[in-house]
Amino acid sequence: MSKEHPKIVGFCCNWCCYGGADTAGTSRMQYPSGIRIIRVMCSGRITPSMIFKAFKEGADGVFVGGCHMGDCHYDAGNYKWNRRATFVKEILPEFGIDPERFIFEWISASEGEKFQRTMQTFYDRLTSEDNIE
Amino acid sequence: MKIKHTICSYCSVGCGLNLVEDNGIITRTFPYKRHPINEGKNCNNGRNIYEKANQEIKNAFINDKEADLDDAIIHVKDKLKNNPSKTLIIGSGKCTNEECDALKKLANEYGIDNLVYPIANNVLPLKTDTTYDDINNSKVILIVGDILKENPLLGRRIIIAKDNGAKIITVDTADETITGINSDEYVKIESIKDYLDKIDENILNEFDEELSIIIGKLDDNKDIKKLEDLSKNKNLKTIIALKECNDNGASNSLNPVTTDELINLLNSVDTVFAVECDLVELVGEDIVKKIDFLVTENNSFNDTNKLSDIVLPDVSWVKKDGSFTNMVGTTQKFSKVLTSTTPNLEEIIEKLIE
Amino acid sequence: MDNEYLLAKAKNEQLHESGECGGAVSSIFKYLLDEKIVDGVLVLTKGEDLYDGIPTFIENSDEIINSCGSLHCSPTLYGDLLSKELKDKKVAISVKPCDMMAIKELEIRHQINPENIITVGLNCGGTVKPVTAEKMIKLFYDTDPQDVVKEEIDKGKFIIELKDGTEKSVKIDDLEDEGYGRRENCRRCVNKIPRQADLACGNWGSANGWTFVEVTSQKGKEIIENAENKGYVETKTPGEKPIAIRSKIEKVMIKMGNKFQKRYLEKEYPSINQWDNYWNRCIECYSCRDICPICYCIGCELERDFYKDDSTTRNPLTFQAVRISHMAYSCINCGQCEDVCPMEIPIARIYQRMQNKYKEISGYEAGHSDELPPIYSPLKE
Repeated sequence: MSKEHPKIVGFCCNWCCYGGADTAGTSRMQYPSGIRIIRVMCSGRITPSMIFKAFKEGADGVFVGGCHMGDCHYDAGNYKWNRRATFVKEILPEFGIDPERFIFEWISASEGEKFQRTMQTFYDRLTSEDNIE
Repeated sequence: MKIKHTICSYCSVGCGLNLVEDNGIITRTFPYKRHPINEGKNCNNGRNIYEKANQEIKNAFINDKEADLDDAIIHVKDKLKNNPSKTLIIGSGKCTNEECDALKKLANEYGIDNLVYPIANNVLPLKTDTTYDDINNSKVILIVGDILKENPLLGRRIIIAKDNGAKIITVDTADETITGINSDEYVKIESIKDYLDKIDENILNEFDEELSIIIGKLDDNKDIKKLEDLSKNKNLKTIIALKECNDNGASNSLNPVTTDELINLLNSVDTVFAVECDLVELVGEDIVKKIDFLVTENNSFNDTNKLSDIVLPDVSWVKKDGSFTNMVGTTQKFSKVLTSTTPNLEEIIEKLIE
Repeated sequence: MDNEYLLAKAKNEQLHESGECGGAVSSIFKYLLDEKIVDGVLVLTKGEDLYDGIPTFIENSDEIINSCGSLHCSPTLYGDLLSKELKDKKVAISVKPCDMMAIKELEIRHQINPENIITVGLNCGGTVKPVTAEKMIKLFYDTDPQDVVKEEIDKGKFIIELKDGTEKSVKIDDLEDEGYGRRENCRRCVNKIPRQADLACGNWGSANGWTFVEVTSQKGKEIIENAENKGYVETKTPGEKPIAIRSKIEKVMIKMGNKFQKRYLEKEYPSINQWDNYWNRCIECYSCRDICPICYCIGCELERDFYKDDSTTRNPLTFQAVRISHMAYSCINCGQCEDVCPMEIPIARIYQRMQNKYKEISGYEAGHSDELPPIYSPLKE
């Protein structure tokens, strides 16, 4: 898949990744405009169905950002998400969706630069000529 | 907890169904894998039909007030005697074969000629020797209507045929149907009648005698005759997918009528005795209101009951012994799964004849 | 506790005659009912004919005789009857390995109370769909299916016994090559002896007229000891040879199961395009969900409004993918979903494949654990 302007749905946890996106914004770091951020209270709140629904509605990529391991505001939400996410990675190719189109990352509120970098890399990957289906 | 066999009463495919009975109530369905028609597979409608299985109307009602059954019977008898030529008995494809026979007996007893049952989609039962297994082994299948949606377990035969390498051609008036999506060819048409009028050049010339035809709906019920002749002359396998579970069997004792024909009849009579059908849903409230004297018998309350002068009690098929004849002409007996003290249709008719 | 091996048979003559391999299982049920240890016994009884097994709840021990004999042609699953209709009863139940795995998964989900049930396991080499069985008996055995009085799967053959006492057998491989024989799921099954049950019984390795019993739990040990003390069954210790034979049969079966898994879940697994064709057939009847022993939620996510749209077919991402993410890690490969699918979608394949993948990443084997799959774990790990 190579798209000129891929749409990325980004689920960001309120306490870390959403803060990270905020930091990136306030520090005026440039990142691709195709990303639509949905704020959730915790990555542990995200269910696989949300990822599937996003793809079904036509997202080119889905990103989930949570707190670093051990930093979850609710103690263990990101651990739970991590277990679910590994299974989602296995399910997607069964329905013809390249698992590369789905990424998850741990980004803290201070890591604006990591947020920007992650988005840029993901965006580049989705637009590249490589065989992402 | 007991599990018992019955026949699904939702559509005319005639699927087997197991019912789970717990303390005198049907709680859900259970696959009946031994049944040759559906092998334990049922559609959503079939599996949810257990909700209807528990239904019954326990008492008679006169002018919407609970009444003694014997009083109601006497009342109905008087009216039926009154003017047989101005009386109409409406049966239903939901009635068992035995009930249809009883209705015929009732009509004979009172000298009533108007004995009909409503059919949907303008299709009429057609006596052929086609079986479901013929569909499995078909080479080319022409489908009119959305069979996968309306009669999923007949649709299953189409899917099996497709897996066996059959070519599936569907024609319908909709833009897209699930049957169409699963066909090799989908033809959107304006009129089924026009298509059938030109069936020779449309399809027959190409496939001729290897064709099987499945009809789910028609514009004009006269086309049935044409299909019948075609099936006979060309030896085609033809199945008419009917709506109600005993639409096929009912035609042995009752006269099938389309909705338009029914409206004409309703306008020409004074007294109507309607069994297991919701006239309001069929022909609209205005026509029903004009009926002089309306007797209905159902196993659950519907809008027609509210407009009826007399409502007679009845129970669901699960509380009766009887048989249904499915769309390919197989008559399947079923026995009571639940017992009930409420009189059923056959018993009521006996009382009316006495 | 090390598992103990026993040979057992019924003391009651009638049960010994009618029951499979000496009627030990029937006798144990009779004991449990007579002694009022259970309220009832959930077993298969013969309906219209040999091909029509009906789950029946027997409360009177005189009726146990009706459940005697095996019915390989009725692929039913009991799990939901236990968790729904028989929830408040004390029940003894005869279980195939897949029944047992379903019960196990329902137990860890608190849908079945393990203290309320006694499970008597039956070894299983697979089941045949009843309609398939009938066709197959006509075609390969040249016999009227109604003349068959008994059927058995043994030594790689499907054997039928006729009214006149004659036996006919055909190799299962030959039947399955032609699309008959056991259900696809049974071919892929690698759980042949239900050791999660309280007792695991069967004819593998047993002498004629005896049932081979593996005592797999303390509860099972007490039951069989008491049944013997009360004079319901007679037991003896098997020699080395029967034990070796039984374990050899199991190994061969598992090897075959693995071979079929490779074939159906990898080599001949449908391509994405084929799957898309299959998904197009889906009429959203939810049969697969409703029959699934793992699914018990009231108010299923699949029926939520945000999945509804006006397209003719449901996108599999918002149906099967969701279902997989909810239950495939616990899929026990019972195949009921595929059995009841009106549109002939080989749906059990994707579930078993996903459970296998989940087993690879997490080590969780469905139907064998006393704890929920790690995906539910609240731990920080």
